[in-house]
This record gives sequence, C-alpha cells and structure tokens, in this order.
Amino acid sequence: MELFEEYVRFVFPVLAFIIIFGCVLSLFYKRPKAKTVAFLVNEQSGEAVPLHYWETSIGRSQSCDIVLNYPTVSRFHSVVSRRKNTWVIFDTDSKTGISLNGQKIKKKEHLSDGDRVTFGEVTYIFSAPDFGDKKEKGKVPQYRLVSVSNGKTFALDGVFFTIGRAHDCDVFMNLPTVSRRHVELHFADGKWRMKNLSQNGVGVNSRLCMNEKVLKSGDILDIGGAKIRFEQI
Amino acid sequence: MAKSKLVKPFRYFGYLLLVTVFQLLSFVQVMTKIEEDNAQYVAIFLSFLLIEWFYVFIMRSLLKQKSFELELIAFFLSGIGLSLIATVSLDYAMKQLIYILAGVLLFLVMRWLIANSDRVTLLRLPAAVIAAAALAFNLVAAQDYNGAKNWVQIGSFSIQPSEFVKIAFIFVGAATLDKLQTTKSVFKYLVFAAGCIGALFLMRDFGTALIFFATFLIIAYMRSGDWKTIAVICVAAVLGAILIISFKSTVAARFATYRHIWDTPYEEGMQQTRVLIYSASGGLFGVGLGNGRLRDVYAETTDLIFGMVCEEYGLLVGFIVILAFAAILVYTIASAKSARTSFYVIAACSAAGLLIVQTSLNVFGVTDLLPWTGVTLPFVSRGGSSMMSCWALLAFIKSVDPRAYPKTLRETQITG
Repeated sequence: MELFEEYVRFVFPVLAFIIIFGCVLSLFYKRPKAKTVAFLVNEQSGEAVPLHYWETSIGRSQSCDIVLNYPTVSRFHSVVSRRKNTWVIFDTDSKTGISLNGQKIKKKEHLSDGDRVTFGEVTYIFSAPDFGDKKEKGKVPQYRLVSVSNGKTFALDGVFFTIGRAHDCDVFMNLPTVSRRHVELHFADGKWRMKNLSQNGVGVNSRLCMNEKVLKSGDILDIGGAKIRFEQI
Repeated sequence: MAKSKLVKPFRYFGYLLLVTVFQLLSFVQVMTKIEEDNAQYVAIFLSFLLIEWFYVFIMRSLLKQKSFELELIAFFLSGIGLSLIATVSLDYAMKQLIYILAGVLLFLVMRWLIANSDRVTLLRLPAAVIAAAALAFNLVAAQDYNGAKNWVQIGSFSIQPSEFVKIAFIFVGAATLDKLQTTKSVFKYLVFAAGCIGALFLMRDFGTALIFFATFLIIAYMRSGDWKTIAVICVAAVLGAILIISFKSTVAARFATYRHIWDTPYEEGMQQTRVLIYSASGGLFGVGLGNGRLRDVYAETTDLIFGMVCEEYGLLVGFIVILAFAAILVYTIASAKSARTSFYVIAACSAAGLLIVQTSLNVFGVTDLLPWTGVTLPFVSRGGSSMMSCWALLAFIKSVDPRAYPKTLRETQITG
C-alpha cells in the first residue's frame, strides 16, 4: 500500500492534465458548423444577405449585423429573430417603421418564406423555404454538387452555401486557382442561383459567367479548373 | 472536393473512464486513511460514481446529447472536493454527495427552463421578485456566522440564499437582442443590482458582494457596450467602498491582515500562513490524500480547500484546477457567436465570469495575493448552496453549446 501511495501521486497530475486538456480541446475543436437557413434578398439589386445567427440586428449603425446604409433606415431599425418553428421580425423603435407585405407592423410580426419586408424605403424578400413545421419542409428540391473528377458529393441541404479556398467556406476547395470566396449558391423563388464572387469568374457549361446565373440540374460549373456537376437527387 | 462538415463526436466515454480512474485512485488512497466506517465511505463513493455514469447514460441514450465536456470537468472538480472532504469527515462527505446530486438535478431543471427563449422572457420578472424576497428574508432571518449574516437555518440544513440569488442575478440581467435595442438604458438593472449588492453589504458578506459587482459589470457592459458608463459605475463603486471601509470598523478589520499575514501567524493570519506553508510542503506531486496537515486548520474543506488540493494532490493538480476554470471562460467567450440569442450570450459570459471571479477571490485570497473574503472554490469546496448554484451557473454556460440544444432545434440548426 505504501508503494501504491508513493507512486499514485505522480499519476494524479498526469490524469488531471489529460482530462482537462482533452475536454478543453474538444470544447474548442468539435463544435459543429451551423448552416444558413434563411436570407434576405434585396428586391432591386437581387443581392442575397444570409442570416447566419438566430438573432440578426438590422440598421444603419456599423455595429448591426446587417448594415443598411440608407437615410430612411434608423441606426438600430430592426431585429430578425429565429424561434423554434418560426421567424419573428421586431421593430426596435425605428423612425420610419417596418412594412410587412405592405402593412406596417406595430412591434413584432411572424415572418414567412417570400414575405416582402420594407425597412424605411428599402425592400427585401425574406427567404426561408426549408424552415418551419415539418409539413412545410421539403419545399426545397434536393440538389447536390458532384466532383466530375473524383465523384465526391456535397448535398445542398440548406439554402445558402459558399464555395472557395477559405477554410470557413461550406465547400472547401484547396486549389491555388480558386479564390478564397469564389462562388455563392442560394435558393430563392424556387430556383437555385449561382453568384460569382471571384476575379476569374465561373464557367457554366463552358461559358464564362462573371455575375449571377440560375442553375439547372446537370449544369457543369468550372471553378478554377475544377469541374463540378450541379444535379437534382 | 467538398469538405466534410461531419463533426466527430466527443469521445466522452474514454474521458469518463479517465475521470473514473482518477476518482478510483483517490478512493483507494482515502480508503487506507479512514478510521471510521469503511462501508459508509464505499457507499458514498459508489453513489457518486453512479450519479456521474447515470447522468451521462441518460443524457446520451434518451436525449441524444453528444457533448459532455463541461459536465465532466464539473464532475472531476466535484470528485476532488468529495475525496478531500471524505478524509476529514464522512458525515460531511455524505452531505456533500447529497449536494452534488441536488446540483446535478438543478442543472437539468435550469437547462430545461432556459431552453425556450420565450419562457426565459416570461420568467425574468418572477426571478427578480424571488431574488429580492430571498435577500429580504435573509436579512430578517439569518444568523450571525463568522461575522456575516448570510446563513439561514432550515431544520438540520443551513442554506445561503445569496448563492441562489446569483442565478437570478444573471437571469434578470440577460436579455434578448430586440429588448436590448429598444431598452438601451441599464437603469432598471442597475437598481436591481444595487439592491442585491446593498443587501449583501448589510449581511457583511463582502466576498459575495464583490462577486455580484463583478458580474454586474460584465452584464452591464454586454448590455450597453458602453465603456464610459462602466467606468463611471466603477469609480462610484470604488469611492463607495473607500467610504464604507473608512467609517465601518468591522469592514476595515476584514482587510487589516491583507499583506500582513506574517505579522500575526498565530492569530488573524493563521489560516493563510498555514495554506502557504502546507501548499509549499506538498510540492509538485503532493503528500498524498489524508496525509496533509491543513486538515487541522479551521475551514479546511470550505475556504481553504484550494490549500488542501495543493498540499495533498500537489501544486500541479492545483494549477490544473485553476486552468479548468480559465478554460471554461475562454470557451464561453469563443462560443458566444454561435449562441441562439443575446440572452444566452450574456448569461453564459456572466456565469463564466462569475465562476472565474469567485475562483480568483478564493485562490488569491487564501494565498494573500488579494484580501481574503471567505468565498468558496466552485465545485470543490464543501457546501450545499455553493455546489447547487455552481451547477446552475454551468447550465447557462452549457446553453451556448449548439450540441446541447433541444433535439428539435438541433435538427434544423446543425449539420453533422
């Protein structure tokens, strides 16, 4: 027993270190990535702004998550908040208010896919087609990306994806010819759209595209020399 | 082409085994030192292991939870405390076991309560009222204990209401983003906080008052993001503290020994000097459980337990214990971005901040680096109210972990 007592004291710090170090390492590195399930599309420009967080502040202030630099938008105009089965928009005492499908809202209102939301004089379409009650789900046709060279697949199980060389992109392509953020894919109005973010553009069925394009099943995307097929499952 | 977003689950089973091995080794060592009823000790120890394993089993199999890191750290720290307490008194160990069980149950209740953000909004006002009532009751019914009036005797148990008010303090202070944008002033919360801290001063529980104040600063900053307001509050608080220390001799006496413990090593400075001497004599690897001499000093398993950890487990384990709290704080700050609402961000950051402030006051207090305020070491020290409030605070921290979301939310939020 004395021998046990003599040696066990050396074991305690080793075990304690492994336990705490292992737990801490796991806390930092085994966090899942959240996927974007909704975004706002500017009615005029068609620009899609993803809602990455459960609560998104919108306003003219630089500290807002979505900055709308328009004189009719208040500094802290609105908050779009995700609840269990729905999205809610709050008017946070803005001067010009918020209209939802042409009707002014008082304080808060539920949001549905396709709603027109006007902040001051700027109108956005709220898009969350695959979110909500289970019966509502499945509106988004199931598509995937398939690498033509090696057959690897990536299911498009959300409504907003980024492709590029940056590690935080949804689809990570470690090629020197690929920009850090090369392409953006988003689903709105029943269609998948591809938006080029790079200097070199994206080839769609061998035609160079420098801006936005609606995708069809079977389209071949050329991203920095890597060919990827967009197809319905 | 595509990066797999599938996140490998935490190998909780392996780490649970390691925690169990650590506790088994402690158990065997303590067993050889106990002169009382060994059967009671075996029962206490096995029950503790059962709580630990049963918790993981239930959460994994029924609720499909995949992450147990925070709970394993809490069980690891609680196990260290329980082993040290058992070497001093089996009755204390038995009570501590009950407190750990109560803490785990409170942790589960809190997780359920705060899982729904709408429910959280509804509960904030009742929580404030209950907290105010608890402190008022404390002021009226508490008995004087070591110069502080913060203990209420209920039957054979004594409770410290201020420990539970910590939970309400954070609960009331946190708010969702829409509320923060429409109510930019922190005045209402300032009044509530001033009431709580004022009540603690009247109870002469200065350590807890300091913890509340630090937590208030974290919450106020996170709510307003305004350094100027925080600076004004800090200056006002420092001036107030100077006035109180100047005019109230009982308060001044508490701080008189600070940095002068070696002037009175057999009177006021006795406990801290013993902590320093015995911690150093334990060396890096400790003298072994049950072999320490700090056990003969008053408040050995409460305020001085960090000294016992250093003396009996060794300075390395003592350092790892501090590291665990620091890691929890850093993790909470790093995870804040992925939290569901601002409520969870504020609640988790303030809970983690509270734990680290309390740990600092305990560790640096007993080692005379800060004035000794007599607060407990979270999860390790003996005491029911403290243990339960620590587990409840852990529920706030857990709420920023996306893997711990309710199952329905996990399905729509998480890939992998």
